Amino acid sequence: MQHDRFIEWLYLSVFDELGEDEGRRLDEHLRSCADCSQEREKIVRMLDSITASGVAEPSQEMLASARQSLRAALWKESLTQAAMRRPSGGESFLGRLLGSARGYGLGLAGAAAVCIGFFLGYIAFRGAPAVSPLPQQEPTVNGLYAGISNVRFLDTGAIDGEVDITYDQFRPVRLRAPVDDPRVQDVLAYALLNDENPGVRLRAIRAFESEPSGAPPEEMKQAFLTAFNSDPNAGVRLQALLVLRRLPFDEDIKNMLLFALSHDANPGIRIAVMNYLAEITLEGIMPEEEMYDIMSTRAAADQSESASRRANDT
Amino acid sequence: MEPSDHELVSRARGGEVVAFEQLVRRYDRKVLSIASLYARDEEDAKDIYQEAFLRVYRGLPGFRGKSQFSTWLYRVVTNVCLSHQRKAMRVRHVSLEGDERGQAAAATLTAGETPEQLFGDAEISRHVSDAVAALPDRQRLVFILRHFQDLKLSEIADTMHLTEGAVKKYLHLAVRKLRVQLQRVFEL
Repeated sequence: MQHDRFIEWLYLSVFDELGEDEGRRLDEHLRSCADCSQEREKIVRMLDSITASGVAEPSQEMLASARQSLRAALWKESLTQAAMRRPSGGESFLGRLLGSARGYGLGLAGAAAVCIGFFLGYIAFRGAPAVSPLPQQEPTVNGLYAGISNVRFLDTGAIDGEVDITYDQFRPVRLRAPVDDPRVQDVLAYALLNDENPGVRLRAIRAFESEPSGAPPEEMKQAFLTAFNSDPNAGVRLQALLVLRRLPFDEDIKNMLLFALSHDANPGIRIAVMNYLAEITLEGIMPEEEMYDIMSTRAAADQSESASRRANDT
Repeated sequence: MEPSDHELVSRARGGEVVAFEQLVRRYDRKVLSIASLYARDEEDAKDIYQEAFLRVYRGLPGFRGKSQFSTWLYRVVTNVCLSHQRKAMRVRHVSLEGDERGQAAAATLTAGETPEQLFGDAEISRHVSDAVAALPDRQRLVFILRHFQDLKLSEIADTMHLTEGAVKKYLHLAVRKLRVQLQRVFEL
């Protein structure tokens, strides 16, 4: 049947993917074949309708949610990558032990394995968890604390600025150091983004409030932004907002605030964001016209009566 | 002036997180669009989106810029889609469920009312999604990349490691199946 001969070309022609010669021959055929001509029109109509159906456009909510999850995943990934880039001076006890054992052959490696067995047995079966001194050789800044669990705060540093934390990282560790110590900040960031207990996440933020300079490293700021944007607990989000208020206002913070204003399910958080925006407008950091536009939109769109009223008042 | 992909990639390779974020923002709608058309289920689509960008992030140090960043990204996305599908198939086999997508699309399309009565805008979108989802993996990807992302067949062939002839075949088969699946919806 002649149609069969041209049918593949017909389907490809609508995508403009036919060679010159094939195209010319198909055109000739279409001029003399009403069925194929009609079929081509139907395919074009179908493809236009598929485009018009909007199935290729993911919703704003879906995009925002995917971005949130990606941000958290990238954060974890950067922790892992930093841990893998650990400098040779900071090689782990296990790595050093096995590394040196390689040089002396299998016999020593076996002996090392037995020692590790005894060591692990000792760790596993001894009674109360011993507290280790402040790790001196632990590499610092962001990422070398992957594998942390069971973070507990003995002191959030509200009085003397020193945070006292215990956690497990292959072994129980106790760390008492100023909050601006990068090792403390690594544990705080890790706990804030990963701990299942909202109380621990909350204390991780509160511990930072005693930070003297009030200027956290970029990674810490990103952790606060992520927590504010995606923590399931409204109390943690609010606490993260309080810390963010202390930081210099920039595009990252602005975008996150605007996102929260339209997406945070908790009207209390939305009102807190409005208060913050009103404050920085008064300080001249944000232009009044921009603030007016944002609040007019919120006043009209917010589902919560109190949030809508607050936007109107602002 | 907006920095080029090449510039952003170099900066991201140098550890500049903001540059990587800019790359993500530049392409992530497209990636999510491909993922959601391919996977249908919203959570699966978000998984594909995340996995693709994580692979890109991990692969940046080895990316030498021999191909365009977008080509590499599309290649990663298609690989993630196909491997995601294989995983999903394994789960389905374990749970003894068949591949119900094609059946679902067919069942809705044989309902007894006229298209105008039956299909509102949301319904049409659902039928289109069902019909696309019912296509076999490679046909679906070729159709998504050609029709929705406007990639040329040669680019698709490069992205999916196929010959151009194979891509033509997949595209032809995909459109023919959609034509059958959607004929009642669009009164074809």
